[in-house]
Amino acid sequence: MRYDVDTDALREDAASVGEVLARVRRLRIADELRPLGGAIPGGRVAGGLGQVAAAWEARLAGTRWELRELGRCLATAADTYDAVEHASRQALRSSSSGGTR
Amino acid sequence: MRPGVAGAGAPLTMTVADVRACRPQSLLEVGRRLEEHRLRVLGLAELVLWRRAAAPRWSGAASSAAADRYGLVVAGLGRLAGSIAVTGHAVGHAAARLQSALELVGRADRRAADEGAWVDGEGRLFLPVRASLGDPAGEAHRARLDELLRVEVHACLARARQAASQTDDELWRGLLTAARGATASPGTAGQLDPQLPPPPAGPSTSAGVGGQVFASAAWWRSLTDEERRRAIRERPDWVGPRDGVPAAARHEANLVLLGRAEQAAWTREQEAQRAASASNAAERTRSAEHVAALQAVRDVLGRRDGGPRRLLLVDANGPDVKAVVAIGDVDRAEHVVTFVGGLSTMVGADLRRYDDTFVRMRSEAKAVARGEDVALVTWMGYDAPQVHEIVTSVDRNVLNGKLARDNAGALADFVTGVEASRHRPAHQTVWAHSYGGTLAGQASLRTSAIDDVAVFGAPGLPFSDVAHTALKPGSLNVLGAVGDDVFAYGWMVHGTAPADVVGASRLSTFALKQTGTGCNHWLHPRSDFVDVRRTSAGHSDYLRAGTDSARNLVAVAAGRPDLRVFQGVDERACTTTGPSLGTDPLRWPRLVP
Repeated sequence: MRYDVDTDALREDAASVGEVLARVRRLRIADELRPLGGAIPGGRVAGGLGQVAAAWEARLAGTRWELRELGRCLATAADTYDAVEHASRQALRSSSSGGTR
Repeated sequence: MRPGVAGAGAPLTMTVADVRACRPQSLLEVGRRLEEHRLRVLGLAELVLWRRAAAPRWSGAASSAAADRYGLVVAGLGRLAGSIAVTGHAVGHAAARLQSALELVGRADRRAADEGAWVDGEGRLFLPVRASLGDPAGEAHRARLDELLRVEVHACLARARQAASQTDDELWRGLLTAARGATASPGTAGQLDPQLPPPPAGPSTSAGVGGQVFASAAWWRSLTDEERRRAIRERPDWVGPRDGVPAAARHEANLVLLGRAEQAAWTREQEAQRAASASNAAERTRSAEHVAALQAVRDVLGRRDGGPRRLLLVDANGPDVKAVVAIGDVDRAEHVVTFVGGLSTMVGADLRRYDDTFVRMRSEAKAVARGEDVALVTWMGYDAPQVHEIVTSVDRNVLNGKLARDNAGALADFVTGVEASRHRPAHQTVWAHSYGGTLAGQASLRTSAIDDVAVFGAPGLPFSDVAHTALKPGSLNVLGAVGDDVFAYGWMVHGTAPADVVGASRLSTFALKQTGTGCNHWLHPRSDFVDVRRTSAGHSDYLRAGTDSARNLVAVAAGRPDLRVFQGVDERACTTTGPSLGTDPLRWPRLVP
């Protein structure tokens, strides 16, 4: 097995995904639909916008969760690779210092 | 007022007041902002993709798993953008349909205002208290116009409510479906395509006038431009034969139907020829007649002289081909004339001839119409009685009024439909020859959309007084030529002689070389003292160029009653000849009573 990882770049990716997540949080689809209630008074749209808004909220929450998970995984991977690298380096150093003792 | 269920099945959730309060512009604004959101989400998906592909940072098994995760996120953003697109599309479509519904309400308002009436916020029609005209016939006509107004206003408002309710329902379902994940990607877009609203049930040519025709007109108005194009393309049978739909749309749809009818007729003729035998001679004749009739329609439509042709009906499903062809712009011309013929008229044999004649007469009518346009329609929308049927049929016999009664609704619907489909009313005239006059007489009992009627060579009319019809006083014109036995004696089997109808205007078909010379020229043939060029003789000479009868017909069509020439004393004396029995009434000397 061979690893070749630029953990700084992974963290940049995670940050970038975080930025996308922030922009998705700013999407207000349900708010944009709210004027429909006044534009078509008396019908099902006016009465059912709450249901539509809830569906959009659930939909966007799913997208946000996917992004959050991707960002978290990228950051975790970077941390883990760094930790492995650090642990390996430590182990190798302690092993070589033990040999000279 | 919030009751009911729409005829097409959609619940009538919206009142007229709700429709009036709709703001399609707000929907368009929502659609515009949704499009901005969609582009924003697509931008985010591109950003994620770009980050992933920007540089090699990582390799190994975990990297592949991360790539899968990236893929899921990008696909999710793509679906999100797709759902926003579907939402925006649904909102935009709803805006267009609500605009059409609002315009229907506007038409109802305008039609009411034109007649001094008004429609309140809830859609109730209020008629003004009309001053007494002191003329029972005029008041009866006024009452019929009010009834026609009521039918049209109610048809417009009912369709507006139905369209708005259906739009509201579809939009609500579309919004919810899109929010729950439907996208515009191929394969799923079709299921979100709004259903094409079907036209009112029932054939548009059913007997009775008003409701069906105005409902059809309102249906067409309730469609968006895109839906109209779809209807013509996908369901030409909904559009082509439908009275109340504008002529331009009918023409487009009927061209499609004409192509199909031609294909079917050629196939039928080939099959009949392949199986030729003594037993299918009638089928071979009939199939050849259909091919010839459709060819006549095609030929006339291809003509470029005298104005554009419009195919307003083609129907090859009956024993004979039916067709309605217009010269000129039926949707916009100030004057629209509808001609209906009589005994033995057939599309294959007569359409080209009528077209030749009416190109000329339309030109003459335009010349006297004070700069206004005239459209002329050859209405062959019924299976006219044929000569052989005099001995072979009772119901279809020209001596029987049944065919006229049965087809009067179709003619009345056509004329009413022209009125219902237009933005501005036309001055509408019906020219009716021979048995067509009897049919037009029946139609004039049903619709007030006819402004003027001119019957020539008509055997009889189904009323004795114009006040008994839906016509306005002074609008019935009667022409009967010297030696026209159908006109002179047809009343024996077809009700009242047209010349005897109270309130009818008797127009001239006859001219002397020198006025005032009278007719008592003893045994001289009439051609000695009659102006033969201007005089119509016999049953089939009314449309000849240069005759007074043709001039009178043109004057009526052009809305120039002041140009009509009425029958004078000399003419009354000279045209009372006794039966001509097929002889030329101008050539042979006849004693004048």
